[in-house]
Amino acid sequence: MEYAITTNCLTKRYKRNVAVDSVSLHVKKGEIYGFIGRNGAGKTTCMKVICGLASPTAGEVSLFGHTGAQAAECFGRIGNLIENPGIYGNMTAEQNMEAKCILMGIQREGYVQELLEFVGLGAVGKKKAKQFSLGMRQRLGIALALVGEPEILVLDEPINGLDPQGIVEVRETLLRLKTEKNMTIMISSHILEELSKLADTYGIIDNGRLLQEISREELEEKCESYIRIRLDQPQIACSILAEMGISRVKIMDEHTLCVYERLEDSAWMNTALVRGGCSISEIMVIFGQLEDYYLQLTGGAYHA
Amino acid sequence: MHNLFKMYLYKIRHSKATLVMLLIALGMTLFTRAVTKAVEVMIEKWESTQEETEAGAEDTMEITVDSHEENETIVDSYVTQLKGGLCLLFMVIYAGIVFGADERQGFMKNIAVQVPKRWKIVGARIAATAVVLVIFLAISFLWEILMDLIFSPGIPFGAKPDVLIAIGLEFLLHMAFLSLTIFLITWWRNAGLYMPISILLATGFHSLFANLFNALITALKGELVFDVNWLFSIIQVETLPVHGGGSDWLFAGVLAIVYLIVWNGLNILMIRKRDIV
Repeated sequence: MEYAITTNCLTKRYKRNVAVDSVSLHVKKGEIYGFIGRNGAGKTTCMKVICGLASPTAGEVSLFGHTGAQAAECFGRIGNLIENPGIYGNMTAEQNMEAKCILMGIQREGYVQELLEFVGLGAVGKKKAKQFSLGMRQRLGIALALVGEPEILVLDEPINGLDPQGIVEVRETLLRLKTEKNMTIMISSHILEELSKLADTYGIIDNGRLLQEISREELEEKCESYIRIRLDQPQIACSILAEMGISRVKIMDEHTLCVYERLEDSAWMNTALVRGGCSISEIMVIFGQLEDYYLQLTGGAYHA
Repeated sequence: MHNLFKMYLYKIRHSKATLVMLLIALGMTLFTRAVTKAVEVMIEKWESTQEETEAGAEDTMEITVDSHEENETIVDSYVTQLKGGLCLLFMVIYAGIVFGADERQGFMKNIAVQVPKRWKIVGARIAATAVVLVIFLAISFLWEILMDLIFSPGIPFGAKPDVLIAIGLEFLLHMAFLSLTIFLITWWRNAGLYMPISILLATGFHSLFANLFNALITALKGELVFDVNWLFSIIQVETLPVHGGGSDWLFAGVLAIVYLIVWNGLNILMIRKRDIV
């Protein structure tokens, strides 16, 4: 398997604060890697080091299998949108794009207009960037990141400030870039639901440490759906369900039971438990989500 | 680095700061020349009135104004203006505005990924600044000629070799300071720190550095006498020669080599591994 980005025990320390602590992540070529973590977890710092905007305190970054000075030569193949989009406010959108094109040595007629239309800013190219709304600035930032058709796209919360339509458009754009151009995309977001529709692999980071890397398939297995039953006597309910051939049952607390099989038979379970003498206050099918898995892994409330 | 240099030229072309700075500088020159001329005329009138009073008046004061008549040529006048430090001050502020915007507005994130070697960023900025300085010096020189035609008619132009030598030396001295400013901008990234320091250096130490290099030239020629007079000569008003041949070229060469070594040394030691964002 070819990796576009790997880090090996990557550490970044700012004086006494360890922002990134021995992170070893692996981003496969041509996939979308979802980077998840709470505020201050170390996502942005990690992305900065990967893009060469910050130097690591320890460890190394490997790009397309190259490390050290050879990896530095690969930075030009990365497009990035880290934190706020970097744009000159007193220049128009077109001029910002032109400046980036000059920087990358691109002299193609109509290229700037093509990219602006790609991100939905085709009609406002001559407007000064400082007059843009937050969502428009984000779009311009994405357009700037796409200049030069990079092989890797590193996006730090690119859908911040976008309206629902904009979020859908960005999602479709990223999926199109992946399928049509085999672009490797590393994206962080607080909107886990949106990330769950995009990413092939997830990296979960907390307090500077990478807790887990998990593929979409593995996540689907772990985030399985279940039936949650609130009742008075879960012990008796377990016995009743066992007689019915249902074994994958877990008592969560003194009033809650979770059943992990035969979700389609919730009504029949309800009937059987009531006949068995249980008082049921609630029975509900819960579909497993990334958010639940994340909270379970990090062991706390999610402060997005 | 070549592409980054072109990008900075593109940005400077579309930056209002360039035009505003030029207009302010030219306007200030016009204003000071006009005021100086007005004061000269007033003094002349006052002196002619004094001469008409009885001889033997004990309280007659002689007032002299450092006018352009004391300068031999237009070139001398222009170089005196440059040594005054106003041009350098403007350029330092301009560099702070233009290149500081990369950090303030975040465009550095686009630049640094494409140009990972920090010294190339500094180099491109210095090269772009040199182009702006050449244009600014050329325009201000033409403006100086116009001012002299209006306010000091009849003043001779000056020998062509002297023009090249004098302005060339001032260009190198300006670039030395601007290189240091740009290095500080790139390394420090905090306008609250680098701007006051750069302005202080530009306005307060322009003459000091020129005299130091002058002393270095004298020492290289074996003519320097290390005594207390030498020390005092360093802090005197600018004594950089305008005319002359070989020693000025030697001065320029040493100056160029020293600040390139210092700049490269600072880059290698301090900026290479620094976080750019």
